[in-house]
Amino acid sequence: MATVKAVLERISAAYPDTADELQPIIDSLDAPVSQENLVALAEALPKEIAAIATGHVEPRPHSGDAV
Amino acid sequence: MKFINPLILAVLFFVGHVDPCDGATKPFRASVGVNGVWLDGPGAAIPQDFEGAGNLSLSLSPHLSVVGNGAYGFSYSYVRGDIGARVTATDVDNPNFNAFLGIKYRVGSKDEVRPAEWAPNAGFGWKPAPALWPQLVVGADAGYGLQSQRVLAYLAVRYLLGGAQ
Repeated sequence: MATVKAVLERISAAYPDTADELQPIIDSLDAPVSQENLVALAEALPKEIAAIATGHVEPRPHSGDAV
Repeated sequence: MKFINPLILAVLFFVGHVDPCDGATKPFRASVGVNGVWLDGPGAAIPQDFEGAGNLSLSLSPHLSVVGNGAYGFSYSYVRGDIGARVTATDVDNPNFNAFLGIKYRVGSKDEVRPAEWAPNAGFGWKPAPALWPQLVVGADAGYGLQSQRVLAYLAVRYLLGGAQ
């Protein structure tokens, strides 16, 4: 995540017009590794994996899956 | 390559056993686009390139997805690809932005984008104008090769095929 942030920060610095758009994204990239999010993930994943194992999927249209 | 076969088999297994509880959301998606890619680390002979890229994804649960990518480097004429699993680490119900953590197995056609290896990765996807261009996604991904110790990072622009989901 640090590399992604560094790339975005370089773009933001090189093209100041994009700073307003990019800064909220740069800030949000700290969230995935927060303790709160990791605990929530640890709680949710076993249940979701158990559901997947029984053939029950619950898809979400994540933008990031296209990357 | 011996590790990638179980992943492909797992994807094919679920293709035959998918039972989406929400009929409005498709588990499978495809996209095409371009990347600006950087390779950094020991022996990284290709510092940067532009790529044409394609992507297939299978969303299995609110957090968990299986994603495969293929890309062709225009300047250095290589082909590389990867397949892996990733978890969304932000709001799973926000279709316009998510950040993810994952691990993928990446392969390449030339020494500069080899070896075939596992790479933990992180990134994000963002729809900058979901009302105006619902099929446009921009994002970034960076993966650290466990064997080569090279970081392969790219900025991506994608067009979602078959609808705006």
